[in-house]
Amino acid sequence: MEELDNKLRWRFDVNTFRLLGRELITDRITAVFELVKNCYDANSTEVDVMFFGVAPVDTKSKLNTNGNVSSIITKPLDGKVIIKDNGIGMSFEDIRDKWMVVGTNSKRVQLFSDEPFKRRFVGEKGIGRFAVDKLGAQVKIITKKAGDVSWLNVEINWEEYESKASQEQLILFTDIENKYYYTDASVDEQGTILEITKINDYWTKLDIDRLFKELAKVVSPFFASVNPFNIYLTCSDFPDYVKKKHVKADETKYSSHKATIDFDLNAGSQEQLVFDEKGGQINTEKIPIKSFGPVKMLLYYFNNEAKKRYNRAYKNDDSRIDGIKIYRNGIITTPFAEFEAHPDKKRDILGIDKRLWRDIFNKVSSREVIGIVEITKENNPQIIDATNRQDFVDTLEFRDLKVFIIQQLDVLAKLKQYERSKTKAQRQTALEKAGADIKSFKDVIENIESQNPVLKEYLEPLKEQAIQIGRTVSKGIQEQKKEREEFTRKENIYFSLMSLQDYAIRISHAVRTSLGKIKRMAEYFKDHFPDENLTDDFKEYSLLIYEEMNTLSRVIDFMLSYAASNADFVDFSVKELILNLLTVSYKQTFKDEGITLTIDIKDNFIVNANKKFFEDIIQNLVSNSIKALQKMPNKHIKCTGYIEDKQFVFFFSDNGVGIKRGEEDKVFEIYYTTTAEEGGAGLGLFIVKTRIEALKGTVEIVQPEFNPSGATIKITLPFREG
Amino acid sequence: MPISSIKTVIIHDNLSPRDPLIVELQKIYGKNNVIFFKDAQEGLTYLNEHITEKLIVLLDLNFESSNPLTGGKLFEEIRKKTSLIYVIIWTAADLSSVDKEDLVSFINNDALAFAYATADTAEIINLINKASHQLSTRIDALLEDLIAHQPNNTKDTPTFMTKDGKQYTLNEIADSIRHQDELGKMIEASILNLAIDLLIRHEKPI
Repeated sequence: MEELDNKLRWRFDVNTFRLLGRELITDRITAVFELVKNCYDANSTEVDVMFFGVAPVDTKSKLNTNGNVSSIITKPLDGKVIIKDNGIGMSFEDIRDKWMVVGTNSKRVQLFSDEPFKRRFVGEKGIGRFAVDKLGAQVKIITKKAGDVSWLNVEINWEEYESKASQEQLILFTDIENKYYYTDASVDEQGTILEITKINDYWTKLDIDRLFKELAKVVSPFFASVNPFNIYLTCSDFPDYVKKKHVKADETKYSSHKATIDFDLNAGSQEQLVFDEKGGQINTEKIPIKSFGPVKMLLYYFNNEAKKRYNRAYKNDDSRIDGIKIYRNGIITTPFAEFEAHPDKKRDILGIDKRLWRDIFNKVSSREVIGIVEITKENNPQIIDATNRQDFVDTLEFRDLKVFIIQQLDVLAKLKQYERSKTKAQRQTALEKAGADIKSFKDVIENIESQNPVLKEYLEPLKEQAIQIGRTVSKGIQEQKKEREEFTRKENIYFSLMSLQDYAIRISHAVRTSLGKIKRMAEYFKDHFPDENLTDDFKEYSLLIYEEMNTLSRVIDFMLSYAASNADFVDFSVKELILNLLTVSYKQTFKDEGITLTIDIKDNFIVNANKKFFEDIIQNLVSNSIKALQKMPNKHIKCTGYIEDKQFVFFFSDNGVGIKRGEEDKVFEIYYTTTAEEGGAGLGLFIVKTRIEALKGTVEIVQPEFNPSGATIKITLPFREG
Repeated sequence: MPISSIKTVIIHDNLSPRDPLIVELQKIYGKNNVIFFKDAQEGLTYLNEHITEKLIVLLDLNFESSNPLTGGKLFEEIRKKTSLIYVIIWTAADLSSVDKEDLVSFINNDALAFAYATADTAEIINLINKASHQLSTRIDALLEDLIAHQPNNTKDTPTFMTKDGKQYTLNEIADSIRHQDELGKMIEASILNLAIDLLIRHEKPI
């Protein structure tokens, strides 16, 4: 950053800057959220977020020839967003050396804000200017530190950057100037005002409502903050917000159960939740204070009925029920301060949803609770926000805290199971009783009929009706059974989709790498064909394109099979499946290739799992071995399996070319292959690994069973408990 | 003034040495001036050994996950030694999945450009051309090149004196420029001022 003639200049490539900014700040809510967090870091006690004239403008409402009104909604030209705080403000040097430099680490070197608050920084470092850029094309920063004699005004016009950036020459150290000047002030004033104009988008009432909801999360709704931080929202466009509105979280309504736990420092006791099986109630009991220090906790649980009521009241916006968050001294801790609109993308910091794969039906997920864990800097010094702000430092104390929180949720889970078995029993009895009633009704009619045959004419329709109702009831019982089954299936789909997400990034990375290769080769053709001197190149590339396309198509098949195979969770015998595949399906292949097969599966057991996953694993192991065995004079494949410590252990060995030492981990990478000549594309073991991970198992290369040649792969698959 | 040839170093663990990009680059810059490393560690060793040469690095970000060296780390290693090697990040990763710390480090430490794995060969060649143009015109790069071509005994003799009377050897100056410390920046600024001064006084035709 250079300073010359009252002009401030940035020091980086404008294009990259904007690209980066747009990736970091994906939406406007996050942008405002980030700017407010900056105010907190600046020791402010009050922040005003103000919107003026930001509602959409209907510029061209007119009547069409067909009689309809067509309107063109545009953003308002003179809308304005102002964020004003009474924090410590910025000096000229702060603006020059920190605000206008990307990713300055001033906040990283220092973890806490200055006296008197010494707040732990919650704002993302150096992200403020990106946030501003997201909101509007022009910003005026008016800022002052206490003791300074005047306000510093800096004007930044992003549009100018845009036009420069679109020019041909590369701008690394751009010449764009930002005007600054000083205005009068009284000495004791302090703070920062960001005046954003030429706004990028219009704001509807819904947007402002959403912003209100997000901002409400900064301050703990249940425990008062030791150092005050009040946020106010104003919007001139909507009646609800014309008057300055204090941003506070809604009172939590409609929950079915509420539980609080507290502690007593003097007595050294901490409360925890316990479930009373007899009374079906949640109580608390006292235990000694845990390693992580005393904590307060407030939990709202929403059972099915409560969730229905809640969804009716909030029009299906269940993003409000969003799990457990940790607040320190009344302010949200950094890992929870990151805004993520989509619930599936939220990071599972406390590991609440990670454990659902085991037993989603009986556990409580973060979509069923609103919870606050209140810690303090003084009492819980070992609960530390990681410097990357995405998580907490993995201390023993934090691990213990996670366990403690999960234990409290497990008490809710007991309540959930208790309620479910009660309802189930009630429903079952009611239906069965109705069935019995109808039968006895029919018996009575038949009885009367046989005694008074003359009445038959009148009683027959009644009997018919009773039979009809009887059918309906038994159909109802069946439907209910079916519904239960469908619910079980849904839970399996959910679990698989979660694991799919993990691999989507890696797969798309692989696809892009392949596409890049193909594209460059195609480009070579485009640029040079039919140059006769390059015939050899053309031949080579056309073959490579063909092979690369085959690989791509296998990757896509793998993706598709993944998506399609989620539903078929069935009961099957692992031993039978392996025997069937190897001795029946591969019989001819093994015979043709001259491979001797040894199978030794000791235990026979049934699992409820995705059969396709198991088939994929075995098939890929086999085809991998066939390639590795191609040049061997004697070919052996051996397969051993047994149950040990609640898991299935499985060894798959061949005496093929083997795996080089040091490459034991690499072989599981996508596109890594040692058998390229035999047609290996580096997908087989990747598929094996992803399938096994989806089943929460492990896979590794161990000492080859056919030492010194060959390879042995060890797979372990844990069993679900309960 | 001797201007040494510029070398392009490609570090990518999932690229064939016969990739059209490498073939095209070799056609333009000559076979010996395009060096390809599949192994990131080997690439880094090469860069460290050729630190005084004019280098442009085309750097992949995501090596196989079993490799402890990432593109981001490799970049940091380069920047610890010198700011005069040009680095172009070439990746199949989405910008949103690139580590934020790495992104910030790229910008603050002048990674010249970003290119996606699916970019046209022509686009990447264009980026390399730009880098090579800058390497031939930037004062710090030129200075370093000049110093690198002096005989060794000259390099260690104190030759330059600053206004405050301190003396520096050519090697010390080269090191300062690589690290962009105060001395390095001061020398660059003085030379620029001198050049402008000479131009204005018409003492040297353009």
